[in-house]
Amino acid sequence: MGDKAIMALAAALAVAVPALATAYAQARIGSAGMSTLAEKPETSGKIIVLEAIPETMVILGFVVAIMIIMKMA
Amino acid sequence: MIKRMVRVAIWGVCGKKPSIVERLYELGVFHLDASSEAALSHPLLQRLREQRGRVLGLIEVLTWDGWKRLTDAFVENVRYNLSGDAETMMAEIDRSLSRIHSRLAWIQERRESAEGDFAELRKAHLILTHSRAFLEQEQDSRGEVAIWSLSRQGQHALVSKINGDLDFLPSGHEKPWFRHHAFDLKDGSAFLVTSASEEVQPNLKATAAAMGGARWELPRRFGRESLLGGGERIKRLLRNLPALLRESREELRNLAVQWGANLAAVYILLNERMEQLLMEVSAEENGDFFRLEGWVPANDLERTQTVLKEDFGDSVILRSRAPGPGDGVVPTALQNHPVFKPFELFLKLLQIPHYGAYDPSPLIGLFFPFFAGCMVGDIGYGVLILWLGWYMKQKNSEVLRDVGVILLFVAFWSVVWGVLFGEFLGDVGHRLPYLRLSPLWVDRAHAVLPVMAFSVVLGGAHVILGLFIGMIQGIRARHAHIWMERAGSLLVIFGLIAALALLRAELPSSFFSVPVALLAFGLIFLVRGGGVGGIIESLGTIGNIISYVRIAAIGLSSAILAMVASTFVDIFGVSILGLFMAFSIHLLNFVLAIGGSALHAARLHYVEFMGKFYEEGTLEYKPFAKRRRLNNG
Repeated sequence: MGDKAIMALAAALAVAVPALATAYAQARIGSAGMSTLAEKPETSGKIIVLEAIPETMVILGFVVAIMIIMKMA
Repeated sequence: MIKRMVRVAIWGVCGKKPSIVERLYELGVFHLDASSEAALSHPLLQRLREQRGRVLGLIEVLTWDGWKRLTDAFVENVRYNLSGDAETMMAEIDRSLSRIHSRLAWIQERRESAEGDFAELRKAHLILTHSRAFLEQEQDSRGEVAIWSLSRQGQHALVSKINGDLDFLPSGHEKPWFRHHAFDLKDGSAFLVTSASEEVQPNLKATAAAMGGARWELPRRFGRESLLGGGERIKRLLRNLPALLRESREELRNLAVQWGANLAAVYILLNERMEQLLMEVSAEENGDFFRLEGWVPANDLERTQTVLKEDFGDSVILRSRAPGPGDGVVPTALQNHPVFKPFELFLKLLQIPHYGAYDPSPLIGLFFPFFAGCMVGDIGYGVLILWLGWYMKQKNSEVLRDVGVILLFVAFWSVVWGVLFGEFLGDVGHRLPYLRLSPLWVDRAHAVLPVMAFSVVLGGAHVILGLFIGMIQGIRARHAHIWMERAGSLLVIFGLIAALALLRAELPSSFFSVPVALLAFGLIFLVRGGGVGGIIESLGTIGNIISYVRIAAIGLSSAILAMVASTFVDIFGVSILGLFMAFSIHLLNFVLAIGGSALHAARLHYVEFMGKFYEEGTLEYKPFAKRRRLNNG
């Protein structure tokens, strides 16, 4: 496999792995958040923020992927 | 901005307590310290609470929903007709309630009876309709005709037995006979209509009883009327019953029209009376005097003093001072310029800020639309958001109006960024021959790095601002660990920025003493402020800055999705399918642009920015004031 192919695979993995991790984390936070909301509806704001927190992982993965692609280009 | 509060103590003559409390209620600025348990469970208060519950129950039974039409003038008119004394007022309300109750009971009784009659007569009508032909055929026979409620199996058994026994019966001048007709109703019940000569009757009745059958009769009110005659009368009654039901529904509606608004006004007045009574019983009495302690916003103090002095002269004294250490928790009230007031909505998802802390609403007002607009970055979507914001701004709900104003700000920045990125519904603006839109700054769908770098710079500025506010707050509150930690993080960030700038400028290594010194001082402050945790916190701050890359990332995905929509027109041509696909993708992109940009811009504020300085409080300023918000028409 050529260098470019490996770099392209690395860029894809840099987004895909954090995306899976984010999805897993958001699913867990989401289900716990819904249980909390059932008992304390006033916590809705905090739940929304908590739900958005794991997305940082995929954003950082995206930055890494862009850097790899730039190097490749 | 958080309103400055002053601690006030109001001393007054007990004899004038109700009128002083009423005046304070009209002024609507006094925040009472928490009421005691004893005050909350005052017997008169309990009775008022129960009566209020009964009034609300009646409003619900009457299904009255004219709250939006209720006016202040109407409520005041009802108040004018009620006694000022709580006991007398409650007795008057009780008398009215029992009048409405008895009228309501009469209407409901009539309706229930009509509904019951309707069900009974409808079933009788069905039975007689099925039997009619047989009854007419048998009306001249000399036998007895009867209708039996009997299962299908029972019917078969009965018919076989009676027919089998007919031959063994002694015959007089006429041969014994038995005729029958069977039918089922939709509800599953089965009936058998029989006509038999006198000799057969004992056997028929005994067999039907043995099979579990019961003789069906006309409803009791028809007495001994014949089945055919009863059927005609039932038909006439059924024609009249719907009108009777309509009449009782109309009566209920009239009762709601007659009493609904009055009951709603009484409900509001009872609420207000309860609040005033709670204030009265919460006052501490000492001989002939009473004392109320609480809080008033500093800018309302003079007005309060003047009004009380003018109305009650020397019968009331108001003393005030700045909040002191022994005053407990000071309530927080927000006061922002009308332009930034809608952005207080962001703080409603959290606890209100601590008194003396910093209210970030104006800064949210500046940065939130800027970030969200940068993510949307499209003139076409910006115009749509403008329309949506304008539409929501016209709504009655305060929250929707606030959201509408926020959307107007987002729309403005979306259009500005759209011009900078040269986007109108993706690349449609560029494709249209008479528009030929081109980016003023950069085409973000192709030049990713400049937008990413800009987002990180933006994030750096935003986070530094948050840290700076946190540091000032720490110094003002004399919390050394807070301001040292914030100052340490600031120095580390400045050190890193200086090092990056020097590396880029390729300056000699001697220049690096400045960033190294900044980093060293920063680490000292961090360790002094928060120990090892402080160093970890500063690493988190760098992560916070990088997190702003999402502004570029979400913007990029939105721009590419918009271009995908145009590609469908390229593939399918300007056809119904092509336009439909393009419209669907744009619609999806628009929803994602609004939802994604709002959510991520909010998250950047809640986590990355406000996390550096926001201090949650526990007590919101709740003035002793009328809460009704009725129209004045």
